[in-house]
Amino acid sequence: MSPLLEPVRHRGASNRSAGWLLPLSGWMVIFYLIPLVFIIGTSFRTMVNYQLTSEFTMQNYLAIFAEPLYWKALRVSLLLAVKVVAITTLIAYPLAMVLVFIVPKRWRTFFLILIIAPFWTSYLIRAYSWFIVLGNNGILNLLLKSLGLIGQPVQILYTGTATTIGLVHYLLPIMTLTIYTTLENIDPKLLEAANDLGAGGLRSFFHVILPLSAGGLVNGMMFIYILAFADFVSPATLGGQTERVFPQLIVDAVQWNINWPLASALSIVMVAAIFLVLLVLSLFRNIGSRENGGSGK
Amino acid sequence: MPEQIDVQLDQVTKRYEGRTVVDRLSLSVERGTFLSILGPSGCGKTTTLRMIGGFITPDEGSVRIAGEDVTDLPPSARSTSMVFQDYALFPHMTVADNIGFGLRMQRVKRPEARERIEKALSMVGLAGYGRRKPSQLSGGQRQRIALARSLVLHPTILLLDEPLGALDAQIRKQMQFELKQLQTSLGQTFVYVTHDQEEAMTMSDRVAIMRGGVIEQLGTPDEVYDHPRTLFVAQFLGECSSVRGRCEENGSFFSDTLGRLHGRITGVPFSGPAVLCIRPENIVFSPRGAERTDHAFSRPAVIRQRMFKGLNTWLCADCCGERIICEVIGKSALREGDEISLSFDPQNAVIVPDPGEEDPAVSGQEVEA
Amino acid sequence: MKQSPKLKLVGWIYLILAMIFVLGPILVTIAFSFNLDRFSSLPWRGFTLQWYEKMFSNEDIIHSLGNSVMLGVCVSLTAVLLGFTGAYGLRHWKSKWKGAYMLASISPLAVPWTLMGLALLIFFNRINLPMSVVTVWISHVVFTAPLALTIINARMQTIPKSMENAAWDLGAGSLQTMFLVILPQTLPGIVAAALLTFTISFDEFIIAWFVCGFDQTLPVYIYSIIRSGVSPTINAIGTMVFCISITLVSIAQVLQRKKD
Repeated sequence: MSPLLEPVRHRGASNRSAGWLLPLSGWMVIFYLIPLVFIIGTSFRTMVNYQLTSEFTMQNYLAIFAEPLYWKALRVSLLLAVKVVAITTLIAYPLAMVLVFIVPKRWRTFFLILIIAPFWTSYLIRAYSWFIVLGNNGILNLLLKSLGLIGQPVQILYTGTATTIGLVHYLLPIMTLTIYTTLENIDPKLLEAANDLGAGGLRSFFHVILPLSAGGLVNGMMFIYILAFADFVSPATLGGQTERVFPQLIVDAVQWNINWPLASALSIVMVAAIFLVLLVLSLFRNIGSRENGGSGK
Repeated sequence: MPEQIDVQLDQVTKRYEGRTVVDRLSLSVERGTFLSILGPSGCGKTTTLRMIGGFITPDEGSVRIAGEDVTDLPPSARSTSMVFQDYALFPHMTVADNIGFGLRMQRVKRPEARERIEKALSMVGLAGYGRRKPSQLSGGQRQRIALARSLVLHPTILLLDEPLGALDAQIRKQMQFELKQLQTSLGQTFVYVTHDQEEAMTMSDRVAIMRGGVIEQLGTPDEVYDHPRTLFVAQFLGECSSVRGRCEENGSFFSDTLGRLHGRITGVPFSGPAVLCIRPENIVFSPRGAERTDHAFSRPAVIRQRMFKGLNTWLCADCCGERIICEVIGKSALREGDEISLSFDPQNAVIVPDPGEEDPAVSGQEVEA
Repeated sequence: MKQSPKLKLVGWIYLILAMIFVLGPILVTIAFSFNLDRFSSLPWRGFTLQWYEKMFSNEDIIHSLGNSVMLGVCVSLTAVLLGFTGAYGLRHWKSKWKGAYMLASISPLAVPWTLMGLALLIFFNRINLPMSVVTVWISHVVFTAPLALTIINARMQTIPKSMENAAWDLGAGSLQTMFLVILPQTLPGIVAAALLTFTISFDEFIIAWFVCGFDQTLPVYIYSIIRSGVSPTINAIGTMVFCISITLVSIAQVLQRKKD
């Protein structure tokens, strides 16, 4: 006969199995939640002789708000992030449209993999690729020169433009994928109905496609906004010394000042800055759903 | 030889979120019986089956398998085996490994296991299919493998949860036949859940009709069809014409439209609001002037609807305000609008209590199969 | 949607241009890894494998490469283990908090990585754990385990609940059911998650920079070299990294879409 098992196991079968969640949950609590709590606490401390003191103080935050260097970096980061989100969205949206509406189904996966795969490869190496291309003697300048468009090489590397290019290149795959998924989920029958009722291509777009994709679009924008604002790699590799972004200052505080409390406070301030803009953006998400009956996801 | 009771449910109750899904249900199943539990969706039949199998523990009551109290035992410890609605064949294992899974759990030695698997395969008519994977089989074949997987363990009871639901009508009829054959030849006790009354009537030795968590009636297919105890049972098993009225103390039925009738009462005699049920095949429609005199009850009527179904024809007539349906084999010369005479033998009409607006179901009484 | 051929042409041109933008720089790196010229520029000086030779003979590179590979394997295994057990737990967990849990577990991916790196640095310091590949491993798992969970969970959800009931009915215990029935059917998801998490860990820079101490991973090493300007060896390293990453990612994608 079959081996007998304890009756207890029988009744609580579903609850007991939830214990399988413990390893993952435990790891996340210990190595994710607790460090986040610690960093908040650390932002209110000071560092003396490479040791953290235990008294509560606001001096880090006061120092940040008093120092014009940090305000400038905040402004630079904000402008950069907004610029990057705008450009990436403007490039990604048509790209996703092409993939959904023009490329035949059989080829879609192929092009998707081509576009997405770089996202999973080394960001640093990709930034370095731009490093080569955008240099004074790099491919881009050589190309422009040979086409007769410029006489002298244009200084792109070590400027904000280079950082922007690097970031857009980094974020384009993920934004394209997000918009692609959103567009793919639009019921094609809705477009057929719109067509049937007299809406041509452009009108279909503005009245049907755009509103229905607004939810996923805004979600994507919010996500890449976070990534753009908090990014270190592109600014550090491609940007110059004049327009330093906020994450670079955080790294400075850690690397050169060895001032962890200051770095912590800087990080919290950065998160707050990001959060504020996201709040504003999320208001647009709801507008899209109420007025146009969009997805509002 | 004393009858062997294989399954005994005693006042079994199960509640989900305040709703009573199975209500003080009691049931006994004799060895070798093919019992169908029949009912509309939500009646609690699947829950009952799962309680027999051990997947759900009843809140109250007890479950006995072959005399042993198994109420708290999990499925792996019970001598029941279930054939699931979607077959649940393990796609990553071969057919032979699927069938041998239970044997492996029981640590049956390889040579013996192999032999038993072979026997099981030939029993379901799929000898030699051992090496294949479930994805290579058709729906009907998968169904048989699921069957073999359960039968190879020689369970005391085989539980089947609407196993033929996913099959085409053609294959389903064939499987019904084969299942019944298998059950009879093995002498195996089957408990079969379905919402398809035709299926239940075809295969079963006993039918339990469930509604609202209770068994309304249990008996052989003939019994429940010819002698329904409640209106629900009468209407669930095939078509019937129902006439509302009263049942008097002397057991006769009276309605304003049809007058007095001496119908049949199944079960406990009662008096009060009642419904008279007549099966279409027991009614005769004849053209006016050609009345049959051998039937005690005869009334004029007008045909309102004629439905030719190929094998038979259904005629629906209006008789004193009541809608009566008659079934005729083959074609009928009668047409809509024809004036006819409707007659039947009152002994073929069953009187059941009128449940009224609210519908109290019968509960708590032991029903034996 | 009926489209004019002109529109289709414009669409395809746009697609090709976008592909050039996305893949161009990468191809440039690969191309120049074979260029004789030190300066990664035109005109083309000649074909050579010397940068690859230099790469394989550089001790620092080999050492950091070894770190990254070992790290990637450990991260991958841990993430998959946590992801699988988590998915299995979610499968049997009856609660209205399931959605919230999944959202919370995905959240590390939206938290700024500079913040996370610093937080982990401070945390490890607090608990007196010295910075090494171990701390990088721990940190990488925080990001990759939720991803593994998502991928494996997606696969696991396609397995009907009746499978476990059937195994149970046939006499299998909880552990047996998981190993003999659920695990084999989840395998494509597990392999895809393993490949993806390896790649992410292998390529990850900023968190590793914060917490690696003296055990440099490959990206950290590369960064230190980039600071000093163009180096053709990096082209070779970059090409190698790209090849590894893209291969693993493509296999993972194919596995994910198989049987969909």
